[in-house]
Amino acid sequence: MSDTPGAAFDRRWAWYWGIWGLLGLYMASWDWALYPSSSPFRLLALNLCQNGTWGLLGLFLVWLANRRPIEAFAWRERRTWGLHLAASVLVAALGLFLAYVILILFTYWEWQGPLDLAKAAKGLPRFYRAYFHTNLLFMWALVAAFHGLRIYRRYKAREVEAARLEARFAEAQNLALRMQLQPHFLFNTLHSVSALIHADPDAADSMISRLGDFLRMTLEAPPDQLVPLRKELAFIESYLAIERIRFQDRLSVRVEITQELLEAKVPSFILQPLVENALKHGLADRPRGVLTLRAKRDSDLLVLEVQDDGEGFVADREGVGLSNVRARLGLLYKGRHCIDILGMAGHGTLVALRLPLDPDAERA
Amino acid sequence: MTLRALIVDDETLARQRIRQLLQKAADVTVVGECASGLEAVQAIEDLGPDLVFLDIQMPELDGFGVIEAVGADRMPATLFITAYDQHALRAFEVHALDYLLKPFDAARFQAALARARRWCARDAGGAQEARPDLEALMAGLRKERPWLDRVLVKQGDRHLLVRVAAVQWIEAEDNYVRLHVEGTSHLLRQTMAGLLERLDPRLFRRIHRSAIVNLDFIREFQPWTSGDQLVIMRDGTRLTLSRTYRDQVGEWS
Repeated sequence: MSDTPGAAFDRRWAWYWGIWGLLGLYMASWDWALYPSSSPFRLLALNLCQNGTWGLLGLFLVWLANRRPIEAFAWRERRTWGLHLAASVLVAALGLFLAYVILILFTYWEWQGPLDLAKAAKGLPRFYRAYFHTNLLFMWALVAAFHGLRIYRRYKAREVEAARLEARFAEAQNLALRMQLQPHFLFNTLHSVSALIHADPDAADSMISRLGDFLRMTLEAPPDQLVPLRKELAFIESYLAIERIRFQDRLSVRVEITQELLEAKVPSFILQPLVENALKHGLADRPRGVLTLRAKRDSDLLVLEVQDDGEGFVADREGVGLSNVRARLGLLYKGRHCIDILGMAGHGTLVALRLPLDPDAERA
Repeated sequence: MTLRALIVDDETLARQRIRQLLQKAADVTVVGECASGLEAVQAIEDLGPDLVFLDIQMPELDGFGVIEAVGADRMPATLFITAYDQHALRAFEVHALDYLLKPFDAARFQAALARARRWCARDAGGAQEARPDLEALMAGLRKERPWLDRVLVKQGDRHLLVRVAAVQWIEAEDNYVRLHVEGTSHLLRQTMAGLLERLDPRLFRRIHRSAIVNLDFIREFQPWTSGDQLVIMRDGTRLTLSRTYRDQVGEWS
């Protein structure tokens, strides 16, 4: 945001006077084509003076249009239309009169002769017949330009507002999706604690502490949804610490992460549902299971993989977890991401997320 | 009397918790523990427990899937256990069913157990309290989740979970239906009409009094005698599309 309101204001007036100036230049060249014997400097000075006068009078039209803008091409707006029509006719007539006065003054200044007012008055009707319609058209163009700009600004403002609303909606939806996953895990963990209290107080103790870590990270989740991979992995670690106690040494975890990717931005809590699925389907009914987490780079994509060594995914039904991840990524990346699920009967399941490494750079 | 109880939960610690709480109940013996829905169906049929502690959220076959497979009318007294499932809880409220929310303490557990004892006492002639109506519950749930995605079939004394999408076609056989799946077939105690009602019509259509096909497995149609059509499946099986059901063909394209 380099534009201060003052700068925008100045620039608008520069445009206003600049256009009147260019119009003066244009009309001077026209006059010169008609009267090649005249001095071009004299013609330019004359036209700039005349256009400057019209510009000053035009300010009245701008002021009026600002006070009583035309809102629609409707019959109920007839009074506003009429007002602007009358004002533009008046301004065109007055402007032309002043332009004639300037012309006479210039002629007087050039010839150094006596000012013959009677002769000048005689020339006025001819001047009006020649230039009134052109001048009226200028004034209409001015009113039209004002309204065009006004509609454009409104449209822009509305667009910005819509974008802001959309972003807020996506954020809220994202939060809701994130929250949908927590309660189930939370209550199950508390239930495990209540079993452990009697059987293994030390394990119960450490589970409560890990649950504390987990909840703290949930509460500290940033509102912008994107966190460094390092943070997401710390979160998964606290989640897995709880699951390790629950699975009682049946679970081993391998982490293969390229160091340089630790600062890459990923949606917060995106891995947890995938890990939860891997544990549910990968470890169910088996004495031991291995969970592998991978992060690697594929040109400008970040690839996150969660792999189990269980039964293998059967692609006929998606659980809440996976469809939740799909929905969140869709909201955030709008199709610039990819989810692959590879399942081999008896050889486990691999879920791979491909995310743009720098989402902001691509959005711009 | 002694109650024979079965514990069903996919989490070891959750099963352990119920076992702990049942230690104080001298009149309840745990006859088995199951870590999955499939095991549970088998155990209910094999062991015939009086009471089942049934967790709802389990991978593959969940608690409701167990009831569906066993049959609501043949389920023993059932205490539902759930961690968090608004969908299920709403159904329980509607049908005034008792359930346990994880985590629960001894007092709540004992209250639920006391109620379960009264249901079972009625079976022994005590007539104390009517059991919750599982059939009504399942009918209510079916309205929200109308299409089957897995069916449980019996093969010898084993149970198999069959994905409905993998069923190629279904054949009527007296009071049973035969599901043809990947080169083998399974008998299911069900009527054609009853099964058809539970199958996704985008996938399954009845083509004959005695046949339902999975549209994904059809290769081609050929004209046949007297207005009937021949349906040729991808594996070469030939079925008849009878005139009666032919009107529906137009909707298939």
